[in-house]
Amino acid sequence: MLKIQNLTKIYGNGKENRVQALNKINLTIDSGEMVALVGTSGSGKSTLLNILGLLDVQTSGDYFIDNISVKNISEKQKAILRNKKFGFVMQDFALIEKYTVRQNLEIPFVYLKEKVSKQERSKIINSLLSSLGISDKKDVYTNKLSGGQRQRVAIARALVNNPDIILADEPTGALDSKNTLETMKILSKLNQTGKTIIIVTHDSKVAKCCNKIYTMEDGMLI
Amino acid sequence: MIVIFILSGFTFAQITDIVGGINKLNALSMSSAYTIWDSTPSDKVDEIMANEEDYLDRMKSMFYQAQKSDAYFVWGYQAGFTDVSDILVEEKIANEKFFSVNNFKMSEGRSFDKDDFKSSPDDVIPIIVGYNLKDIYKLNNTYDFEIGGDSVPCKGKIIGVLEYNSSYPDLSTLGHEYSLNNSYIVPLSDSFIQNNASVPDLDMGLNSMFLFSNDEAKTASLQKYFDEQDVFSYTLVPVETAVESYIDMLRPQLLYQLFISVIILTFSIIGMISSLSLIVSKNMHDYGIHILLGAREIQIYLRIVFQVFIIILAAFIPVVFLFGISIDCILVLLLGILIGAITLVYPLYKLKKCNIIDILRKYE
Ligand SMILES: Nc1ncnc2c1ncn2[C@@H]1O[C@H](COP(=O)(O)OP(=O)(O)OP(=O)(O)O)[C@@H](O)[C@H]1O
Ligand SMILES: [Mg+2]
Repeated sequence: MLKIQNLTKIYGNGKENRVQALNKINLTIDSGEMVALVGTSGSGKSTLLNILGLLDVQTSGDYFIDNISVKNISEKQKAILRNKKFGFVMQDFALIEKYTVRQNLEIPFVYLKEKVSKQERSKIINSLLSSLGISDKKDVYTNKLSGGQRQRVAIARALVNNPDIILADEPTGALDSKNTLETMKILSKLNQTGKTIIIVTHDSKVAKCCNKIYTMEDGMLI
Repeated sequence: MIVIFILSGFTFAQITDIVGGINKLNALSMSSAYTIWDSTPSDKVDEIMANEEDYLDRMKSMFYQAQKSDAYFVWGYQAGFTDVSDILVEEKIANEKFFSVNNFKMSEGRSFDKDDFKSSPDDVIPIIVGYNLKDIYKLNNTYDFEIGGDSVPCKGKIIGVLEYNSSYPDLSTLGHEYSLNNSYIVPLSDSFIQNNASVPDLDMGLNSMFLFSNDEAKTASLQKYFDEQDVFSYTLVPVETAVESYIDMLRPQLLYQLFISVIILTFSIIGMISSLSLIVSKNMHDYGIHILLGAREIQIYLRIVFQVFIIILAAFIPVVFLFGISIDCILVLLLGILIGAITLVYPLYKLKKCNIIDILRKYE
């Protein structure tokens, strides 16, 4: 369902600050896979994940989502895909600190084309929070939460619009081993419900939980 | 933000004032100034004073004629010592032109407006007092006055207090100024001339006259009118040098004030732009999260536009309360819109230029 051909990403344009972050990558990720992207720092993992999630665009090469080239996808449609098809779990969680947990989880609904009723929203949010074990934090501001709790809020938010694909960049980077294990359990469970999961990680224990492991070096898959 | 807006409102008011002042000065310096030189022989004076009634109407018509030629008058009487603080109070009678030429600043209350020069001694007349009299004649209170050479009793309400050391120049004598600290000023009205003025009043008035005019035919015809009435021998004499030097003295003062106001305005503009930009960039990370979760850039941009203009409008409301719907108020609004537009260039650039990851990373 996600297919990459000869994908290259070059940052900067001068000779000196030119960085080739991705170099002719070929990769196919099928529905229902749980994939780990590992590699040394600076090897291009995040760059690849961001392009997969339509947060960045390649310099050359092709990227197909369900056989449609992203070159043919308008900005408006990309926003819709970010909203519905992908769920993002960022390394720094990307939560709005002046919002409560519930308000953070409401955001994906705001940009959803089909309107969801208030009761329906509440139901979805409550069930997500309880399945992640943080129902009691619903009205807490996110800057009052611990790292593990924020992580769960970030995962819950990624799931609000029931996306097909979850993209997670170092989701356990800020967590201790107990919380790491918890998070991986949650992600594995989601994978079993049919979701495609792509995880960028440094942690070999995390990688081992996945069905496939791709290793990157200097912008290439090895 | 609100403070800066009010400040710029005041600054605008000041700038329009100053520019008005400079324009007026320029107009004055373009025209020639005339004063009256009185060369009446003493036997004629005696005759006039002995037959005041015969001459009164002619004097009035001369005075009206001079008023019509846009002359300014200010003359005064000693009104005696005050009980309280032993100040020798002077009464000044001045016309509208005198106030428009001398841009007096008030420490309290307001200056005269057009209608004030239409009041009659039968009504309560508006009065402005010099700074030293502000505790004797209190603002907004009404007192008994006796005005003119014949001490016409009337009621006067204090509408304004001059700034300390307000003065007006004697345009016929280089560098000489009359202080108004111990004076109260009565607006000269047609009704006073018609019903209450005596020949000596009108003589003092005409002797105090200054005429600014470019039109030589007009001054010549006024001169001819004076001559035909056969009362006092008044001659209109030009007083270029004194006026010039007065203007040369005032102009740098006004330019200096203008300079200061422009600097204040510049700083308030910079202050507003930077505080608005700070608000926007503080929220930039959150905007990035919205985009990550499915917002379109245009939606976010419109949101920023909305927020910026809400802030500007909120800050603008007190300005309306303070200044009313005036030209200064509209200028402040225009300035606010301009500042908003300038502020909005930056987020537009950021949203267009940076991808979501940059926005999320940079504004953590
Ligand atoms: N916005 C950018 N501008 C310029 N260069 C960039 C930018 N983002 C990444 N790079 C460069 O591209 C290369 C790949 O970066 P990337 O973030 O994909 O690495 P990574 O594998 O995720 O590393 P890490 O494990 O440290 O997160 C690096 O050399 C990085 O310096
Ligand atoms: Mg990375």
